[in-house]
Amino acid sequence: MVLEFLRFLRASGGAMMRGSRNYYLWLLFLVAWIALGVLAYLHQLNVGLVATNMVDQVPWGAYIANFTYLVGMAAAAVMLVIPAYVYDDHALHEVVVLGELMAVAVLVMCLSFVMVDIGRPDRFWHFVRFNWPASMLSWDVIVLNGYLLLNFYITTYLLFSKFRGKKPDRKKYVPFVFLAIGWAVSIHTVTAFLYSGMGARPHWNAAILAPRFLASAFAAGPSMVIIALTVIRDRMGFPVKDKAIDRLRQIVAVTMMINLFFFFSEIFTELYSFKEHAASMRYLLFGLKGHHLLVPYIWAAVTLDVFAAIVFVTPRLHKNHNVLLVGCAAAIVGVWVEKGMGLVIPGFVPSPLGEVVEYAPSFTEFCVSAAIWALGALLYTLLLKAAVPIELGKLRLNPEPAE
Amino acid sequence: MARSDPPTPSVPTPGERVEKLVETRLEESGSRRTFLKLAGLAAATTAVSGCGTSAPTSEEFFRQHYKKLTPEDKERIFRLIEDETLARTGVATHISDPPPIDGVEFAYALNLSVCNGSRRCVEACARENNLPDDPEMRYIRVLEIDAGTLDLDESTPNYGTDKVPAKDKFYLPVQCHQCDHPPCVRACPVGATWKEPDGIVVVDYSWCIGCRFCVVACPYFARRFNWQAPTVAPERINPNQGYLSNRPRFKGVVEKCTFCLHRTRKGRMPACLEACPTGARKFGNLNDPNSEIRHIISTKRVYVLKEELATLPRFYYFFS
Amino acid sequence: MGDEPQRLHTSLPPPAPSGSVTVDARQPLLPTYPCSRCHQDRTPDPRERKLTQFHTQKVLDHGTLGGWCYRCHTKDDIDKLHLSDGTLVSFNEAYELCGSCHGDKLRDWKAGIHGLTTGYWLGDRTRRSCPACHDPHSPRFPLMTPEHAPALPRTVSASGVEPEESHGPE
Repeated sequence: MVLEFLRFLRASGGAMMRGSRNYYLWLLFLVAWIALGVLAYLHQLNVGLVATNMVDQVPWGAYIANFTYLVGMAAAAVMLVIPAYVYDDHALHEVVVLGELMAVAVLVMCLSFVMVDIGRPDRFWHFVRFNWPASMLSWDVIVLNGYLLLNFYITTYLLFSKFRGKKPDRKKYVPFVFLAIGWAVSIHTVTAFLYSGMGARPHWNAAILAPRFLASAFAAGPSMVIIALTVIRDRMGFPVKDKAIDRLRQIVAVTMMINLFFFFSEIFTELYSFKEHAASMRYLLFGLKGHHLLVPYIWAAVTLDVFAAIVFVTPRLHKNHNVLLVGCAAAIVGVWVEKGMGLVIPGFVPSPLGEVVEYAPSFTEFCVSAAIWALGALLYTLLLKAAVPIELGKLRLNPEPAE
Repeated sequence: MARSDPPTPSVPTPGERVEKLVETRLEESGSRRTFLKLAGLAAATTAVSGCGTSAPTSEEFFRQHYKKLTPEDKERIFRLIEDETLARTGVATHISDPPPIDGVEFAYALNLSVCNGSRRCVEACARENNLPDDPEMRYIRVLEIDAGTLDLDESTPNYGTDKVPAKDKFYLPVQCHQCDHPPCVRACPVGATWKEPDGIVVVDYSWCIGCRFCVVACPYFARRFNWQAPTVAPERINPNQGYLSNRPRFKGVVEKCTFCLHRTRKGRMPACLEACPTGARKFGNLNDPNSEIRHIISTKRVYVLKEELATLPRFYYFFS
Repeated sequence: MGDEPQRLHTSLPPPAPSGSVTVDARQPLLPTYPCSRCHQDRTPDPRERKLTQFHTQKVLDHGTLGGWCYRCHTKDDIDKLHLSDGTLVSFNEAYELCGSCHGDKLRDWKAGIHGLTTGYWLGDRTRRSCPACHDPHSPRFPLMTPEHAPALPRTVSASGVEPEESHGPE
């Protein structure tokens, strides 16, 4: 079995290295961004986090904003799994592995964003003294790594079985799949609780934050999966059923509406009584005391979200696949702004003592963040390059006609 | 930058009298603080880079959490740190680790009728605790608020150099409140910050991973992060240091007010209290029925900031 | 002194004792003491006027007082102060005189709530007498020049506006 597994790895590795010219150009493009990011990160390691634009008043910035957004993206893999396994939707069955591989790549991005954000990465082993269950961050570390392991196991098992030409044993993966469904919800709930548990930050200290996180994640995540499946179908020859993509579209249609409803509900609650704690919301939407850096971004995000919602519910629009893709991109970008920078930064404005200090990422932060996104794209590309041929039956342990 | 008015040799005015009084108190307490007539000195000093060298030594890498250190470990570590400081700056320091005194629970009270916003406490704390000037780090933040409101959102810490107290304003210094339900302690994922039996919330600088979740969690803006290596000029180093309070810190870790535990656990007053020219600050053992702090809580209308967050601070504000 | 605070976590007794409290002596600090050196041969003049020869820096700005200097200083025994009923107090106990009008402040001061205290919270303490901070002739606490304002966060320029952001939130 071990020998077969090694051959599985070798065959996968081989598949990753073979490709068209465009494939190599794409890899090169990603590696270039990663190299730039590595240089930027080395600079940050050398001088300290002063290389970022974070200050005591704004202690978290682009890194944690990206982390927050991507945890939701990773959780969205469950959006494929629930219909496929719970409702036995066969159209989605085949693409589940591809979605879960995306979760793996995205989780690596999440963990990378955390690593580049902490002040003393050399002290990573200090987690042995876990402040669990009190610290929400300790929960987050546990659930994220657990989810990574789960997805890694499920995808490896399924792909390895297919590689060997054997039907996967349901007992060896279905229980884990159901575990992953619950776990996916938990990773994003825990991340939301990081924020909603903070009494010091009234902008986040709302019950609706966790539901909002989940709704927005399940709008942006499947949108990303739709785009990925389109690429897989068009570029890699994997037959993705229209029904699968449409199922995802239906999901996003609902979740984006819910997300918008939650957001407007928050706005109403904060602004109607004009209470003190609404200062952060006022800063975000209208500006505060002459500071208005985020105002155009949040309104653009809301516009994109609304546009995406319209596309997803209007048959005349979403039946055109290109328009659907634009809608997906709008959802992805809109939720990124509204949930990443548009949620994390206003939590710090004003500071607990009433100071208004604005934040925008520094060049170092931009380079490192772009590099991590490129890393995720690279990882997903490589994983797909091996997984798709296996799924198609083209990559086999024993290259004979399939049974 | 504002500087205190220098004393004149002739008969002192009331203002000068007060300045002289504060100076005398500082000298009495015997610490090596230079009172701030150092306009040129800060610029001219050769700032030696602090403990911010990028790579940790192998001893630092494997060092255990403070609570796991044996007395022998502590001896060894303290001598190591003292040697390193001596080699780096030429200053001989002494690191102590005074344990909490049995039966003591510290509390602080601040008289808002009397604080005039002089910020003497801010600078005295900086000198006592070896806080860097560049980049500037200060544990205490003094807010100027319009009389008639307690709304912190309408306050400013950036009031300038005009004489204080300004008309129709009052002044509210904020530092770590050593809360009884500290949100920072709950937030820390590695247990690098915790509440000691005498009430002080401490940080093990050698254990902190710099995730800044505690900075996010604190409702009082009390915690500071070293975004870069802190540097303190050798002649301004306070050699009387505590492992959990004012020993040299590093880039990438969090720190905050510790009620000067290297002083208070030996019976002395915190540096901020001694520097206050108006006597607005009061400190003592909550458990002692004869202490000033108990008297204040019993007889004055004390209140705490952001009471609705149930942090149960040990820092009480009152008007007299 | 009131009930035990609910918030105590210790049932151990406090370290004892809290040490002695002494009041600093004012008399040795007075530059012109003993006053009788000059005043024993002079007739007291209680008329309110501007002094031109001696004590010229003393500006009387202490509420509405009648009797001028001799409201507090004693005509017959110039080295002492007196309370409103005639009781003599030395300069070292000037706080009793201040407290005869400012009783609440005296009560707070005796408890250590008001005024400056130096020394040890666990050990001996010294209280500063009232005139140490409040010139009895012009007692309003003087205005002071504060220390410098906190440094702005490095991402904020002096005008309070952010330096140009590099790429904006992407």
